[in-house]
Amino acid sequence: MAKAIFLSASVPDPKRSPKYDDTADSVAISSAVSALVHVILGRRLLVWGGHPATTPMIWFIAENIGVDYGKCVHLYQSNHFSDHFPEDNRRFQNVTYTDDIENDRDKSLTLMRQRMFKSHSFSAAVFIGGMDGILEEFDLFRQLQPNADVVPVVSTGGATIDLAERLKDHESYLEKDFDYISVFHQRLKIGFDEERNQI
Amino acid sequence: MLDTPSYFDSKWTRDELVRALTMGILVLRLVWPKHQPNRSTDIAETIYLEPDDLAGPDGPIRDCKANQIVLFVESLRTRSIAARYLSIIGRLRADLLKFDGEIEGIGTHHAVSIRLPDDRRICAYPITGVPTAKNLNEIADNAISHGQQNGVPVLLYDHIGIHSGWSKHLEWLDDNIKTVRMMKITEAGWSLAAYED
Repeated sequence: MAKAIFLSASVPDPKRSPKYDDTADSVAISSAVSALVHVILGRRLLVWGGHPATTPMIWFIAENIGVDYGKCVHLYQSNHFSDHFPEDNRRFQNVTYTDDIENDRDKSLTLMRQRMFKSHSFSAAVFIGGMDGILEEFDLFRQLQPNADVVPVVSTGGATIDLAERLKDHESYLEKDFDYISVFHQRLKIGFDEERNQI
Repeated sequence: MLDTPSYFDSKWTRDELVRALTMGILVLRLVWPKHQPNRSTDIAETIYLEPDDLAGPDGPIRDCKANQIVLFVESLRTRSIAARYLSIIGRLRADLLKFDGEIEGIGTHHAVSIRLPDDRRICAYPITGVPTAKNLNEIADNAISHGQQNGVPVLLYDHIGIHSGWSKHLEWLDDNIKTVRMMKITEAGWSLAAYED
């Protein structure tokens, strides 16, 4: 079975995270997320925390390129955010819900991330833009998936820049190349000719 | 989008937002004063409106803020178009490599020079958004002005997010206009591998 790839991505909010908003490039973040989805759908299992803005977009792309969204993507969602779940969740059996812990956002998110990182064998995690949550996700990912690759897409800015500094060494094209289709094929070692039927 | 407490009460506003994001169209979220933004738009660029930005409790937005928003939208629009071209060209490059073809260069009018596996050359023109007959006309004219040395030019477009009624119309155009071929970027590799003059 194909290994999973974890996606962590968001556009920093200027009020919640002004520091990361200053360096983030929303166009690059959106392009990188879209490119990653195009490169891995059907080739690797895409696992992520079911961001309500992007979930419907991934479903839409999957339908248009002819892959089974319910099989190729697995979402994790904390019941702490149940008021914000996208309608699309109800249509598919690919969502794992985790408990709301004491109505506490941080505790609930940690539980969700632990469940997510313990439930799959990951080949890589891709970090795009983001706020403080990205650094917490990275720490937990490293702890629970020590052999998996970590890909900071530095050109998208935000907290991914801080993450790259922690990692110390990363390829220069992750800072400069905005052709994200090529970047992900190269960095994730996914052949251009790989069929989309590997899950 | 003007993010107000009732914005997501409508199915249509939500669908519009998803369709825009799917097509790679960046969204600027203007958050109404004191409104807590919906997490469904956390992939958008955000400007928070303050009560002082409005001339009254229900608006309108004052001119100085409106000018700032206009400049922001224009910046987002131009960068978004550049990113969408790059996305189409990136996918084309990846698809061509499957068949031992390649992009040799990019010229004026975004004309992409392609080498096919049998060493023939063709010219492709990526279009962002929904292609129109005018695009076909311009590509045909451009190909003629360059001596049409590389066979029938190709219009490349991304069909993801285009309404099915429009898609049928585009197929009709392709069936009936022979001076330019239309190809979906998701099928470009296969279509170009089978390209015949």
